Amino acid sequence: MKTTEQEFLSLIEDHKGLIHKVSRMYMDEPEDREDLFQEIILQLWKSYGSFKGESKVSTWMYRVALNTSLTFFKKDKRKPDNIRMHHKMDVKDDNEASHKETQLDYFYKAVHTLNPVEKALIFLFLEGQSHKEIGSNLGITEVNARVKLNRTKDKLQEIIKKQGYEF
Amino acid sequence: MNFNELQKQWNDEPTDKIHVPNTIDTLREAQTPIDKVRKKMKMDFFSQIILLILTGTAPLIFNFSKEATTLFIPFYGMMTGFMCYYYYKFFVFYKKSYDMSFDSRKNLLWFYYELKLNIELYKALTYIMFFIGFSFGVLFGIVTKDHSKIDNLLSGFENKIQVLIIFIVVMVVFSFFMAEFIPRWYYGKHLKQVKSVLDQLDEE
Repeated sequence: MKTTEQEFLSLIEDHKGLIHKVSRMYMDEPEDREDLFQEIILQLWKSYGSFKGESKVSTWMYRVALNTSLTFFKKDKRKPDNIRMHHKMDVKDDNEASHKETQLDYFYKAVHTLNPVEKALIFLFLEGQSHKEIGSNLGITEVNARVKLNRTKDKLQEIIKKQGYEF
Repeated sequence: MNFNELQKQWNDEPTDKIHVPNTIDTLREAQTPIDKVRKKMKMDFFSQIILLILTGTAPLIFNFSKEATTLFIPFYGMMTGFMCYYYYKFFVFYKKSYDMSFDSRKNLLWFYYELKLNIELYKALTYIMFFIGFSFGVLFGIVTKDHSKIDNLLSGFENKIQVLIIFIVVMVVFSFFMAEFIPRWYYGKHLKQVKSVLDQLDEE
């Protein structure tokens, strides 16, 4: 294997969590998620040559991952499976780890009802980005990023509430 | 819902079960709309080349007279010229490296307007091709001294002028369909999808 490819794959290994999270936010079904995961890696590889290190690795990755996800339209029309969610809700588990996992599961399910731009906003917010950084990555103003993010957070809370779950 | 708590869980999400492919070669083919459009462009290019070659053999297949062949050559040259221009433009778009590390809006806008421009060029080319073909047909009818083939074709019809008018109308409708609907069916879906994301970004 060539050195460049090795370097690239080790970079991906270090940041695989980021790619996995984006894929999970944008695709509900495991097969679609895997497809998107691979697609992001492929697009990162395609632009790896032109990545000159002027920006941070994470910034470059966020942009390529989000730009790929925003236009990854494959089978993205599926709606969250409410039946499966309610079934999970009935299962009582006092274990804290499981509880947290359930919270994240509910969060991801709710996120799948958002539009692609709203998903991007929530993703960047959870990654700890400021309004300015979110705006810069999406190509919108800082004010617009703040307004959109607040609206999306409200929307997300509403969706989760409607699904009968609060945390 | 506590977003701070969620953020903490988000950061703590384990990554040990995430598998990264060992080589790039094992990855599936690219599937973004840009890559899909490029793939279609490539297919389109080869099918047009085949069509152009087949058109070039028309004088041999239909046994054109010397006059008709002489008339055919400049029309064929025009067709080839327009096609070359169009495919040169398409090639530039195809080869232009798109940079996924631009901000999302810039990235989507670039793709949207480039594709829109190419669709308009595609439409213009289709109309031009039909116009050239039609003009050649008319001149062919005037130049050729032997009208027996045309007469044979129209022998079963009483009103030959009516048949010719109907034929022209059908050709115009067909060219309109080819120019307006084919690119929309071929590339329109991608354009619509990208436009919808752009609208979401631009929403105030």
